[in-house]
Amino acid sequence: MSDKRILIVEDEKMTARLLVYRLKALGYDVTHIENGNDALEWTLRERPDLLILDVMLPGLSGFEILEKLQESGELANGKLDVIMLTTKNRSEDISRGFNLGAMEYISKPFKMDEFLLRLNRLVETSDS
Amino acid sequence: MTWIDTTAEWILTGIVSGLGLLTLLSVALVLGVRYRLHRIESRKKELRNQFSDRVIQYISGDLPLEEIQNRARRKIDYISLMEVIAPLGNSLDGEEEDRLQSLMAIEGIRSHYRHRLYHGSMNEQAKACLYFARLESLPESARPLFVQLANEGTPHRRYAAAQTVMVHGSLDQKKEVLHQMVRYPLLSSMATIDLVINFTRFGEEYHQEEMIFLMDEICSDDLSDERKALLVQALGELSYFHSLPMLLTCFSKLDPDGTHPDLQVAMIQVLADFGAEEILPDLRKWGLNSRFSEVRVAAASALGDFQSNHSVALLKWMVNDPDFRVVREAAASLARIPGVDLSQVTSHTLDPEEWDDLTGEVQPESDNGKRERT
Repeated sequence: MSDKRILIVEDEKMTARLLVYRLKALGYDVTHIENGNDALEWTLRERPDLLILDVMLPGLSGFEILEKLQESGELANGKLDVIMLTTKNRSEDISRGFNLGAMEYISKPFKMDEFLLRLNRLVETSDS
Repeated sequence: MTWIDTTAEWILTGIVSGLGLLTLLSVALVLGVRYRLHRIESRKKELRNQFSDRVIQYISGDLPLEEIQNRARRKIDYISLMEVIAPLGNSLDGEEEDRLQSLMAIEGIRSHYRHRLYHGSMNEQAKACLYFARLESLPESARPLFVQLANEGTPHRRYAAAQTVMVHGSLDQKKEVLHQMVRYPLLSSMATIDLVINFTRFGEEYHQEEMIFLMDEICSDDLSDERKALLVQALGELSYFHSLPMLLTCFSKLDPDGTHPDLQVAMIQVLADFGAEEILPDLRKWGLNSRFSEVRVAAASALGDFQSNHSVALLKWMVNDPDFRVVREAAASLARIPGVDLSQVTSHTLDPEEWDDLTGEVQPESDNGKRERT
């Protein structure tokens, strides 16, 4: 069981619900928000441990959220881990995500086992 | 004095009363239909909520398929269920995608969409075609119908049927449909490229022949420049480097004063992506002289891709172009060429403050290597 708090920012409802279901089953404390602006506000207020961030969102995009978090210093010193989740897997997008502080980049369609493996590995790394 | 005392007044009263009654009936009918639609929508919403939890449990392997199958018995159930599961198809792979496929293929849903193929609305037919395109398999006997549907009707229905053929058709069926769709002028650029890309997923050994077909079409006189531009873009999207000599030959024959800029723009973008430095002299000429601002924009951007020091003077000139998009691309390209200090460059098109904003904006773009096309 993990006491980590995870925010899923994803506007595709069923994908988000599936992620919430699977992550809750692993013991994570999971919240889901569909809108980029609300997600940024919630992150700054609640300070989750991990952000699963779609790129294309209503309101602020995933990249814009990362920029704002970088400006506010939330991404410094590994305070917040970020996984980018998107249908775009072009190299420019991936490098942009990494440059802005994302630690993992998972492109849709994804295998759930692989997704959970990478997420758990990221959580373990930030714990150690 | 009486209210009605002539025949004419009786007739008039009758007409007015009749019209009033008709209006009342129409209002009642509209309200009835609206109420019914509202009830159907509420029912669908309720069903979507009921199904979504079960679908998530099933996809996760925590619920048997029969649990959902037993609850879906009517048309409205199948529609609601498909609305729930369709978006998941874009997100899932592996085991979860296999489970999703089994759910989508249950007989009730399949039969519902089979009937929809013959619906009066082409839009409904298109939805049905796309459903079959997403299934893992389709009986051989059903495929000719989709070939036929791809050759007639609205662009949307044709495209949806063509997608089904690209997924399930035989090689000959795929070729036949692809050739027709490439030549069909009403198909949008994205849809055309999409079909070409889907075709090539078939396998390397098969798509060589199709690439030759696309190249022949680009060189032929049968297609408009706009359609040819789409095919050039498709070759670029597929990174089909074998087409480079053909593209260079076509590029050298392009009329810089042609009637439409699309083909010139597509050629510039794809050849720059392929790193064809042979086009640099023409790029410099077109960047300066083309009467189409789209071509000057593409040339300015491509000059940045090559990062040649010989282009610096020209790009500095291009930041004075009357079109802001050219100024922007030229500035962005200058920012990408090593050794160029943008603060030493000025633009007569923009005032100093706007120029400062622009240079500040384009500078970080150069940090990510190749820029996205605007």
